[in-house]
Amino acid sequence: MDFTSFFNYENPDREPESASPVFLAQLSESGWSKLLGYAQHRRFAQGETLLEAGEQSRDFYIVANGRLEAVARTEQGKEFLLSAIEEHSIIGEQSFFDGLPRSATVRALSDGELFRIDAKALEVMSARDPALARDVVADLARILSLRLREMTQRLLRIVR
Amino acid sequence: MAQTAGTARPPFPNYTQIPTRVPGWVWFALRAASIATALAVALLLVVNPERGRVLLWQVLVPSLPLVMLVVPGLWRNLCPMAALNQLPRMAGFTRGLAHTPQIREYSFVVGIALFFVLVSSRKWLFDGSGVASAALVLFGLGGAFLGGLVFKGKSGWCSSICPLLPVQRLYGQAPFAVLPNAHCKPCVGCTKNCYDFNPSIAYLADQYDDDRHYVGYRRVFAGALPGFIYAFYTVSTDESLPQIYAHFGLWCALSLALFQVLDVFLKLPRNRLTVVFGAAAIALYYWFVAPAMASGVEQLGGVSIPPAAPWALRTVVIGIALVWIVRCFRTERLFLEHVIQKTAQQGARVGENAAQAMRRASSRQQAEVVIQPDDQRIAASAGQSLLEVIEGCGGEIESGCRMGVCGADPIAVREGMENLSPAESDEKSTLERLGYAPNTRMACCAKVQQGRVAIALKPERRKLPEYPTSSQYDANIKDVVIIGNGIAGITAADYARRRHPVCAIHVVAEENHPLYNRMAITRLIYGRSAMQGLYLLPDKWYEEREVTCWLNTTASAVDPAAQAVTLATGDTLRYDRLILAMGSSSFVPEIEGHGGAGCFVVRSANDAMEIRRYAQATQARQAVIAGGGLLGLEAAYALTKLGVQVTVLDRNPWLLHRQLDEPAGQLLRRYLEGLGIAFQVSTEIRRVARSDDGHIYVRLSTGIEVPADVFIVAAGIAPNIALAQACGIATRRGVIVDDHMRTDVPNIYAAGDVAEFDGRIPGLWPVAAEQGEVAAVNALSGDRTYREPVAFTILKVVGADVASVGRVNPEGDGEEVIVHEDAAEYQYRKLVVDRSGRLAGAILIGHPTLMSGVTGAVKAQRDVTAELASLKVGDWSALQAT
Ligand SMILES: Cc1cc2nc3c(=O)[nH]c(=O)nc-3n(C[C@H](O)[C@H](O)[C@H](O)COP(=O)(O)OP(=O)(O)OC[C@H]3O[C@@H](n4cnc5c(N)ncnc54)[C@H](O)[C@@H]3O)c2cc1C
Ligand code: SF4
Ligand code: FES
Repeated sequence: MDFTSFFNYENPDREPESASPVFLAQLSESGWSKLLGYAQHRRFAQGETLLEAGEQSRDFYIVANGRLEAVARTEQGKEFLLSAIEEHSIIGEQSFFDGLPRSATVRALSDGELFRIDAKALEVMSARDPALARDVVADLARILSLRLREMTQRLLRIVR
Repeated sequence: MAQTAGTARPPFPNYTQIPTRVPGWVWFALRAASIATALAVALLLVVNPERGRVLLWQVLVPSLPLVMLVVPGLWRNLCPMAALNQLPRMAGFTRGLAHTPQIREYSFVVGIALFFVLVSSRKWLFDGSGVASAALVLFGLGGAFLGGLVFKGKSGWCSSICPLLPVQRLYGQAPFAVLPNAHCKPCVGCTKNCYDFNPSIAYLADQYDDDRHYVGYRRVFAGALPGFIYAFYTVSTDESLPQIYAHFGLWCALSLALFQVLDVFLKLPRNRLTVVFGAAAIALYYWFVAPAMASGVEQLGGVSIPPAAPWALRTVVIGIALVWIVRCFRTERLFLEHVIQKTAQQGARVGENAAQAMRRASSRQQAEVVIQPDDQRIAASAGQSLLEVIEGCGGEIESGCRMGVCGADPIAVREGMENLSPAESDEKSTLERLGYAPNTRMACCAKVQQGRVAIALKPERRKLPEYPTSSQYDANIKDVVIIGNGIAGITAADYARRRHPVCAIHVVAEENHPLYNRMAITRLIYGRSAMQGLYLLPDKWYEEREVTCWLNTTASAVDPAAQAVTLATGDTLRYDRLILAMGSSSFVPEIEGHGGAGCFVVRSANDAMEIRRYAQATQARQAVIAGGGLLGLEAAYALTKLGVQVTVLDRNPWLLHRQLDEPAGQLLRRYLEGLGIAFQVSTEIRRVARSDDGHIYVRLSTGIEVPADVFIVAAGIAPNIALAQACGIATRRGVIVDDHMRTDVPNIYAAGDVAEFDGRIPGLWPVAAEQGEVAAVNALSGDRTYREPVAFTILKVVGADVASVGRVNPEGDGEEVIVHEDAAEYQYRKLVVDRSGRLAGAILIGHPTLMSGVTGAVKAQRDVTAELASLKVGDWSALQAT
């Protein structure tokens, strides 16, 4: 695991926080409004389960506000926290790409709202607004690829 | 909520975040004193070895572990070696080098080795020799100073090879009191997982490092330590040197072996065993050293220490060690909770533009739809239909017409019916036909207007199952026969029963399905839901209405004289009234070479299922669809979803020639091309050819030849009139009916796709439903005049958002046409206003929110003279649904 954020020697006052990639950082606000036009707008309440591990659905979500947590269960049935999901995060993009069952359960820690983009929305987007759809897919791919790199890096540390 | 940075103290603060209570100059003075003390001890060791050794080995050294466990920061800040090590940095003459990879890898190992070697050598060397002990002290001081000259930060000694470092790291992991690092100003990042930088997390970060060697060095130290301590106090100094070291080696090995075995079998969180072994080692150490300490203090201070003092010390240390274990365990749990979430794959985030856009979007959506039983809460904008809302969130719902006439999408409204648009006539008659509980709505028609609406996707059964029938009926009518189980036939059966509670009603159905959603059959080509999803009537519909349905049975002849219908099974059904609702077949024009494997039409559910089967069995890659009408385009989309490359042919220059004008047709074409469908327009098929291996090629009038594994003709309908013709009923393209749906033969009526009224056969579902109702009412002695519904069609291709209603092209002069196009935004809207100022027709593309308002207004032929000016400039709010 990587603990560098707790040993931020150059900038000790910074919040320990991993530098997460930004999705469509270059997209303008009107571009985003367009994108959200293809999305479904959902509200959630504290305690609600939004995604269930093992479920199959081809969609990803953008958290507009509220906090969520992703938990996974070991084979022995022990639940452990995978990550805390803050507002303005993207979740579920992995299943969106591979269509395989969700690997984690996502629960709401507070009330909030999110936007959902499913395969159908992307299909419509690519027919109406091919450039935008291309950007969405390319940027999601970039993020997944960054993850893969991170994993490779980590693997290198582990197998050393 | 954003992180509350700054307000709450982080669970693992670094040294800049820990409050400083001792001013820097105090530390400075104390460090000067500490160097002086160290030098003085060294001097004492030489001049008075007796006292010096007692001071060093029986008082000072034994005190250190406890300090390192309780206030580790105190020693880190006070240690004379550290003070000397930091001198070059303070004075600015350090070379400040960074470690090479080799040094980085092994410096801690060197520290461990020094610790074991030096401590075990006490037995024969240091404990007995003041000079050697003095040399050791000076070695420490000198080494630290030299390291400080060469390497940056504390990496020349304190954080690398200092023999006390392994002890400090192990015991300093859960400080009872935290003193912030007073040396490093600023931090130069000299060492990995620096204890001085972040005291409470450093050791855990070491233990959870990905590098198993890095972790391993530290675990080996912790695992060997109890054995080492035990060996120290059990070794006999009379032994030879090799024997002494063998003794240490043996006990260290035993201790390590125990550590390994426990590690494997106990499956504890990673740091627990190191903590337990550390605690055992320190308890063991004070157990043995306590008497020596007491005597040391006695000797030096000249005081007498009560004999119970060693016991007291032992007890205290064991107590502290136990508390320490608990504290360490707790820190590890906190670490796992807090750090794993920080370091586990963090979701990608969106930037400020997105945040802004989301805020804007949130503020727009006022209404809310709650889908039970999961209580999914969807934010909806006013005017959105429940069907759109449900589909958008991936809910399980069927659909067909999307305009309230087919009955595919009934839902139960649990709360907030008043927040939905009221049901209009089409929807009402569909609801009546289905006969569910009063809280049922067709999702496609119920538009959310404001507030909260709670729904369930399964409609509820009606409490009173009896069927509302009229008490006045024509007792002369005993038998009603309906040929055809489509929407015309079923609507006729429904109204026949309403008007007559006791007559026998027979429905003869050629297909092997109860009424299903013919409009949605293309979904059978690609969808996951099979036939089950297309059935339109509740389970007991036929039973409850005492309608006898002859499934899979063809009516083969009608004898108007005998008033009897012969079935292909040989049975005969006598009738007082006969309603022909045979619908239509696909029209297939003469095409040279057409027919055989791979050639299809799409009219019935079985057709669609056969296409799916064939496309899969032959692994079809390409398809050609002749006809760019609604059916052709829907079939094209379905095959595209199967992964087939589809080309649609049309003889007209644009798609949906009957429903759209040219710009709208072109806009739609671009959208469909975006979905991957190819087009050849303004072309006719010359012939269908086959290669030697059976592949189909469609030769066009333009000379182009398109290969096709699947070839579908969607060129319109051919009413099923053979039966009527054979018994002498007047027909042209269809069975000719008057405005009461009467044929020219008494007691025989016709409705739906089979009927031709006023020279026209619209071939639309709402028309069939309306005609079925009119036919039944009149057949059962009522009097109802047929008025053709205003044509309204929607293209059922995802995201196409195309609606056409009424007459979309002006006729003659003096009609007003209003067009607004924004092709880049995929929007097109058109109104045709007749000479009297009434709406005659409209086209809408990409305007879902205008749909119900505009189609309603056109169907009602609303007079828009007053709003004409604003409509022209694009303000259509007057037509928006209310
Ligand atoms: C793919 C597709 C999409 C469509 N989309 C739309 C749309 O979006 N909007 C719209 O308004 N319309 C649409 N339509 C048209 C609509 O489905 C028809 O207008 C409607 O189904 C006509 O109903 P009907 O009852 O008159 O005939 P049908 O539905 O054709 O029913 C007639 C039934 O009678 C049976 N039959 C025939 N002869 C005999 C016999 N001798 N003995 C016993 N049974 C017999 C047939 O097998 C058939 O089951 C679409 C049609 C198709 C195929
Ligand atoms: S890493 Fe920073 S805080 Fe730690 S010893 Fe080096 S300079 Fe000091
Ligand atoms: S009634 Fe709603 S889709 Fe047909």
